[in-house]
Amino acid sequence: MSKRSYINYIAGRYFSSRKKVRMISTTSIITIIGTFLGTFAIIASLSVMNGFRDMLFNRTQDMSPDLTFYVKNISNEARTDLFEAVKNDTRIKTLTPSIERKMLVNYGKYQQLAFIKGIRPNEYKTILELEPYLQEKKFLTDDLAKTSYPEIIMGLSLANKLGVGVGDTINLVSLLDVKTYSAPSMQCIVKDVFNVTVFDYDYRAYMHILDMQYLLDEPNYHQFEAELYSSKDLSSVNKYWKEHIPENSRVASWWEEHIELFSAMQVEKIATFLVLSLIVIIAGFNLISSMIMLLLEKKWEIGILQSMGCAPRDAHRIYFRLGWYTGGLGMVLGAISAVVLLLLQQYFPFFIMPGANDVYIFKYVPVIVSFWDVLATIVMVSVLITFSSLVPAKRANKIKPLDAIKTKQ
Amino acid sequence: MKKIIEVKSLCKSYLSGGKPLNVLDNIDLVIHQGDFISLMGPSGSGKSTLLNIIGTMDMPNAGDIWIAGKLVTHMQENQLAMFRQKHIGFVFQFHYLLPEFSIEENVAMPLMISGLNKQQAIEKAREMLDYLGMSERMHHFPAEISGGEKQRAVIGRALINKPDILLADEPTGNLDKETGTKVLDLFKKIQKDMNQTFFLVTHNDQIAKIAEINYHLDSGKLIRE
Repeated sequence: MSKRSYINYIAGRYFSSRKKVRMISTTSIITIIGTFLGTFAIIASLSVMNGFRDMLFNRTQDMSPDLTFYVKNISNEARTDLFEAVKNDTRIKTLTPSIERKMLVNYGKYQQLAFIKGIRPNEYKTILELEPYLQEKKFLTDDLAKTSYPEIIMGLSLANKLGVGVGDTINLVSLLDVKTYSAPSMQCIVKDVFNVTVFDYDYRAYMHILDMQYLLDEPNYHQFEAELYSSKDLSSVNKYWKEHIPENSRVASWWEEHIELFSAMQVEKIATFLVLSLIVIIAGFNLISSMIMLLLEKKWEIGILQSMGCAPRDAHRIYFRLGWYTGGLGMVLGAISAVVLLLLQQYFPFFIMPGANDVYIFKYVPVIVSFWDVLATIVMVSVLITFSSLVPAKRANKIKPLDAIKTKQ
Repeated sequence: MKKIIEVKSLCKSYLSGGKPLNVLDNIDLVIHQGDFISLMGPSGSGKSTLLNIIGTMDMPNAGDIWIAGKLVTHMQENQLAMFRQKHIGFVFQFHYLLPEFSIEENVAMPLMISGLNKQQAIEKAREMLDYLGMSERMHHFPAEISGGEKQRAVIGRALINKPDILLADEPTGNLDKETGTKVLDLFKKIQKDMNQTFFLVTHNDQIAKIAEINYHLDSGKLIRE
């Protein structure tokens, strides 16, 4: 038996044996439960946050072009040249112009200010993955000759505020374009309503770009929106056009457009990790107290082991391992049960989101288990267990055999 | 005869009421292989202190101790533990068997500490328990056996590493007269069978009678009777 084996042998026996002082067993169990819950809670929270973040990423990607070129403030010639140049970039699948304006939307007694975007419906379909979120799966008609009335599709939040539904007629007024005593206005029929479940998008509306140009008397485009063949090229294409874009215009990726939101989510995730770590820190304090109580109970045994040749450093190792067995058991059980349950939820969802039908379009709690999150949790809990185990271990190291044996007399 | 222990000019004092109290005063002692030595003296005379210093569990204020030819008074704690493992066996007044381990595991413990594999250590422990007449008790736990059996198990634990010397501090102090006599008989048997060296601290006149060399501690001085 190597030295390590006898240390493990004694630590294992101490761990599994029934303690004379029942309080020690109780505090040890509380420690195990504490590290279990702490580990479980951290992994579960991070995984659910990953799930929500992924959901938000997908929604944002569905509703955003890969790249947007803002060209409102450049000359017509420069705008046309840029459009042609971007269109010739072989990495770009679709390039379509659009106009965006904040307008007053009227329906009966209700009025709301909202962003309205003018688009080319057929081209925009490849950029906007709106189909799954449309209530009646009806998109804007591309050929205006086939419509008798300007059409508009709007988000559910805006529709609810106005109290409109599919088939209702609303009035658009562009207050920014007031000329003399009247503002340009246009009546539109609500073709469909979409519900992305992201407020920012559900408070918008889309209409045909020609209708919008007519309404605003605006012959120029405000922006070009581009979709790439491969999202892997996003950063290189973005970088290239940032360097080649004319003065007074700019280009931004969908990620850059929402950087504040994603940064806030990342900060929230780190804060959650740190706050939930407090559970493990409390379990660590409990571990220290239970190990020190055990050390006091077994001090004479350490003295006797030292009289048989157990070195002080081995006594240190015994108590260090004992601390690890207690805290580590909770951590391992917490990590395994969290990963198993969360993977089941990820691939075979079973946990229904409270109020799913009323608020969210997805029924189950979204979960994504990240290897790095699990690893970070295990490393953090391990560090806390190590520090907590070192306290009683250092005290065991300082035990003088003769003094220890006398405590039994 | 082989010299097992040599003590030279050993002094030990404690502070008592702010003043130094000399418990051991310039002690010289030589113990040879196979000696059976008793040390007597009144309570507080320093008998146990001398035994603990010889056993490297305590350190003197002055003087040197050689055990098996090695100077132990300047060794570090971890070195001393390894030294005790190979050269010294202890029997105390109270049994001090580890309650979570069976009798055979208790006896095997010094071998496991020295690095022997558990199975081999247990086999040797069984042989020792057989020699001590305790085969039937090997799987029992300390709480399940009598005081005499516990003390025999402790003797087995002290002997299992074949130490150069067995140090016993009041080994019969906690036993009734009949059981105490059996323990002393066992010591004599072990000395005869294994040529084991014994150094016993006791109040018991019986031990003094069976010991071949008797010492007495008086006012810190070691006197051979």
